[in-house]
Amino acid sequence: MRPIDRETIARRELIGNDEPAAELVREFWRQMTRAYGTRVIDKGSAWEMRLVGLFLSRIHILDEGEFLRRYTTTIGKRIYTPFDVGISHEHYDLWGQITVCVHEHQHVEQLLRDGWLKFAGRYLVSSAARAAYEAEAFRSNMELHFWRFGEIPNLRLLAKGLEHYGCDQNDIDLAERMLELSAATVRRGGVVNRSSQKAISWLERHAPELKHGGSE
Amino acid sequence: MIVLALAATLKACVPVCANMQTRCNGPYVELCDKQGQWQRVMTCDDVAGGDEPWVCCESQIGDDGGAGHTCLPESECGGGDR
Repeated sequence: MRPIDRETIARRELIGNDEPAAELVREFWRQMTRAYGTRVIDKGSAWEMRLVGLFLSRIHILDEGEFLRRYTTTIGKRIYTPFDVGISHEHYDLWGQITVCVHEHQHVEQLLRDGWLKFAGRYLVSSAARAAYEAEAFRSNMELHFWRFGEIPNLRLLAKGLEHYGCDQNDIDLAERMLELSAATVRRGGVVNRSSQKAISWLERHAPELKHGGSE
Repeated sequence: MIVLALAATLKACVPVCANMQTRCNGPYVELCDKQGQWQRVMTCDDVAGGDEPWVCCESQIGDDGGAGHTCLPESECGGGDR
């Protein structure tokens, strides 16, 4: 997925910019990867990611360098990150590393739920299905954002990120609408995604001060 | 068998709903895509949080999002379209 955008950062600074501690972020990743049996791999040194980057570049979807530096990618149970977990990165601050962890693990949930054939087939072949899968994973970002800041992030901006996933305006509108429908549940305190449920349950126990109103 | 598979494929291509329409399908919130096919948005049975069960019903979505179907606590769904 794409990293946090500038508007979100600016908004956060208005609310409070306390970052989670590096060790907390590392421990969070450790428990999520343990729970799902996933593995974190350095994206820059993975030959398979270079191949994917080259391919995306050739079909004019994304520049190879951009793909390697800015995007976290999950294939099966392998999560390729452009950052070292627990070290703030130009595109992923420490909170951003927590949310991207939850986002990527929601893709693992999709894989477990739908199976390899259906998930990979639909994700690769249909842009509408890809938008729906990504909207579901973006819901994790929204749920974590709501837990931390007590507000719904800019859903149009979240959905707009799909421009870089080979999605057209119809797909982006669909994703935005899916997020809007989900936001009505999140605003009432509901947590839909399983990866978010696991993450929030852990954060409530280990970092309650990060929750909005948590330190008041 | 082949005829059945072809029929199923053709059936999947026929639009069955209008783009952006929403509905409840049991515990599922569904949204119609550009091909006129229902896409699952979420399963209300899976929602965690609060003391009440979450159910699918029609509601106002946000400040300017108009009406749509979503998962709400059961007590907030009175009279809504399930």
